[in-house]
Amino acid sequence: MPQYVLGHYLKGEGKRLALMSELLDPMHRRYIDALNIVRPGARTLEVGCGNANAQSILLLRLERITETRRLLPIDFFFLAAACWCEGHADLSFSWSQDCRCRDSPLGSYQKCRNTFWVII
Amino acid sequence: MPEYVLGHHLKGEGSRLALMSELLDPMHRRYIEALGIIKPGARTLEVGCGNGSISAWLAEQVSPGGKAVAVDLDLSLIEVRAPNLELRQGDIVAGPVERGSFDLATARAVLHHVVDAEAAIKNLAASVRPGGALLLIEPDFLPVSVAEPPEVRAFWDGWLAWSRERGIDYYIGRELAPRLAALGLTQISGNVETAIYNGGSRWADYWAQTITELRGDLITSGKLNDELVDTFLDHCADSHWWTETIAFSAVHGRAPDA
Repeated sequence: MPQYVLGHYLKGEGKRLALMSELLDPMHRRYIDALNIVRPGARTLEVGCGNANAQSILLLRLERITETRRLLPIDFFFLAAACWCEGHADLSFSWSQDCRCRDSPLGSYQKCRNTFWVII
Repeated sequence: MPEYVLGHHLKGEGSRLALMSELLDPMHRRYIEALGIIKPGARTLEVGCGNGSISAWLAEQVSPGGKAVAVDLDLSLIEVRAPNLELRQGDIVAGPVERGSFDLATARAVLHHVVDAEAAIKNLAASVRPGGALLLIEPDFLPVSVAEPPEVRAFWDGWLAWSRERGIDYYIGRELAPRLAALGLTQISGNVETAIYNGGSRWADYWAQTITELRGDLITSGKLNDELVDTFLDHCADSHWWTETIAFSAVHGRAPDA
């Protein structure tokens, strides 16, 4: 696989992702809303989550759940996603780099499921 | 002004407009709602209202106390009625409608048929009150330039040649933003979206109906032949054929405060 040209280590990448979220999240949210499938109790998976901002979209949909909930953002680079979680002090999350998604095929959902998750 | 090619007298036009409402009204309503300007008491203007579906919805949204004005060259296919919905036969090229009085003026899939689009847009903008919004939704046929297979692209090449001869501008969507800016509107913003559809879908039905309705004129123009038309219609019935045809540019701006 060719190297990803917009690695999260690049200077300004966090800012670029934030701007991308500002520009594209409204459309992404609208399409998700239109599916009418994300509701309390649902399980979601986002692959290539970037700064994981879309997780906040899903959290909004799940916010009325009282039992433990999980969101599963997956990306080649976890740093930006982890920063997103740190910005949500009311959430607890576990994050491990033990499981490497970098070279895993899309079907590795189960393998990665404990890699990075958010628990409310 | 060249004759409007999809006159309301054509067989099947009522059905085609109803299908157009089904396909495009949700997008149109969404853009209107996002403006945050339509509420009870508001005054709205729709130019080129077709069957009146959007104006009927606007009449509901501005009630009580508001008013929706629907303008078209031909009102014969409008069946909707509401106490606060006013239907007017008229040509926006001739002048503004109640200058500076509407909270929202909108037109969808209209300006590409108007030879003097500049005058139409100017008059639409002049109908909006200071601080009010103008929302235009018009086509940009860019997607057909990469349509597959080649015989479908050849069909669209012929279609576009025919449309140019008929005075239709299927690329006007990309011109909307600079035109609103040139008129001094502010907060100009927009999006382009297109449906991805396959044969047998509602969008394929829409194109099959439109091409069937216009077939005589298309062939007579010499820009298309029966073989290309039939090939395209065959694709419209093939569920394995996926395509994009018409992108809609939705652009809005605000009239400057007085």
